[in-house]
Amino acid sequence: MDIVSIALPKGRMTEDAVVLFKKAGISNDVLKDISRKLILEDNKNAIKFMLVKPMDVPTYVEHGAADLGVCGKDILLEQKKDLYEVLDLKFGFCRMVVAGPPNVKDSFLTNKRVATKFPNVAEEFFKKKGENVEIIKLNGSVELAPIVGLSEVIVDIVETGRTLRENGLVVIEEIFPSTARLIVNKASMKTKSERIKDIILKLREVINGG
Amino acid sequence: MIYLPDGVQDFLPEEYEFKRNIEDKFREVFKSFGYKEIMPPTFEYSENFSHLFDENSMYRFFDKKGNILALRPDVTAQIARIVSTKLEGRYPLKLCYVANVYRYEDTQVGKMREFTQAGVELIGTNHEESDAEVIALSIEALKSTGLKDFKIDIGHAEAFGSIVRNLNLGNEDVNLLRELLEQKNQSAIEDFIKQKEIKREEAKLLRELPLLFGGKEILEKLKKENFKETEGVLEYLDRVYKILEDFGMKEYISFDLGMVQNLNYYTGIIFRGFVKGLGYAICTGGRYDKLLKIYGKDLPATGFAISVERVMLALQRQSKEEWVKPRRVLVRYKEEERRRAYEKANVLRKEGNVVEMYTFKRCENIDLKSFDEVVDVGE
Repeated sequence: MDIVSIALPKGRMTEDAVVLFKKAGISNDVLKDISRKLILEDNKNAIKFMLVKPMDVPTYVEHGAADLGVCGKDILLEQKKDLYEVLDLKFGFCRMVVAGPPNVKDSFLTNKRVATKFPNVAEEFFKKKGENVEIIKLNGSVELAPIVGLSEVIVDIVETGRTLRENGLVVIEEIFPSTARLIVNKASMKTKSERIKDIILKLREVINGG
Repeated sequence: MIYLPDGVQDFLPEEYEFKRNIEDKFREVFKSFGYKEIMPPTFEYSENFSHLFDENSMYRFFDKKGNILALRPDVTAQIARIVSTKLEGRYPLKLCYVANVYRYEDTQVGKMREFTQAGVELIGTNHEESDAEVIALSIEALKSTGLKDFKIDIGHAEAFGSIVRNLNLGNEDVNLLRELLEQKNQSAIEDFIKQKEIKREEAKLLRELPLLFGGKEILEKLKKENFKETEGVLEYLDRVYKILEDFGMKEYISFDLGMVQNLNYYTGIIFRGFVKGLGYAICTGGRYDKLLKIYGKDLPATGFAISVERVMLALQRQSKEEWVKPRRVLVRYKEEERRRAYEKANVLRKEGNVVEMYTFKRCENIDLKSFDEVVDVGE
């Protein structure tokens, strides 16, 4: 049997993903093995999990280094990779928002500055609104930017809103809601079609049933 | 450091030899099937492409008179123009090309802005044998390079087309649905069905389309469901498959009824070539019976284009077989013997060798190890 490799995002979604695959009868419980290992092999089920940075999941899948991946819609919209996005896994819910200090006014004499980890999402959003903005790409701690005067607003992912509140920021506008998706490499879908179809159907059943 | 713009590349000798070898194989195979090579210009009036390509995806510029020109994003449109305006004669017409095309795309692996396509067009016939012929030809062409583990995945534009016609959707919704199907996005298709209140029969088919891919059994499976919309499509694919089976190409064929093409000129069978481990198609093709009409001649047509750089990539991953390279021969000679040495070299060249000439004196700086043979003239 061909081994199917699955790229999982390291972090808040790892556990939900592993639980889902187990519930669908695709793999054993590998949670206890997750420590510092980057590859978890489940030989009995011919499944190989690899743990990678969430932002890197689509890259692994697009290039075929992993056949499948679990990845937030937010990241897929930011990266626009060439792959199949087959299922909404309905966990890892969060929202992509514009946030800023509560008193921020929507009129600026010069271009509004937007700090974000998602420059493409931000650019597209403001372009659609017909607003000229200056995008400042950051790699983390985006909430800091308006506080220290690096930008007027931020575009970022919000789960509970706690981080925003703790930094004195509020949501100004929602851009889109996001959940975890199952993505598939285009060649793997065809070359390992029986196994991958089976995995998709099993997951679909669990998602629609629960 | 001097840089190149995004999306273009230099091919240095070794790599270019590899590329030329592949292109020559394609030419040879195309010719052996009766296809004649043609070469349209690299650029022409932008409007000749505007039926098929978004203006933002083309490289466009002005000439001195203010005309808008575009680097060709595709050769098929040019061939359609040529056949409609310049080529009289008996049909079917069989044409092929190996040419660079230019598209303003986001550059990523396997997606350059200048890339080479090798393709064929079979014009003036809409028989299933023509579709089978071009699919068989694409397989023969790919095989000729030594490529292994590839599949031609066959679909039909009317699988999606016939469903959509029944749904009375606006243009925007059709494009959205096409995009969702392209992604095989089952969750979003489910939402779409609910939102548009699509009827049960069509909804059932739409739900199944994303996973209707695999071997021949997929056709049987769908046949059992008795959807009116896909009846004709299934019969046609069956007939094409039978021909390909007779050609001994069963192992290279798979089906994907949920396949949709980005270029919206396809009207019938569509297909894509995939290699194990490479996430994008190395070859795309299909039937386009309405394209030539745009240029003035109402003729059916079918064809495909292979992306040469992607085939190179696939071959490199598959531990490429060494090309049989010609022998390299060094002819060393005394100055007095120059005439004889040159004659000797020419004889060796005619025999198919690569021959370089140096006098004994100058040979001191030559890397003798890079030659397969050394021939001395004089001394």
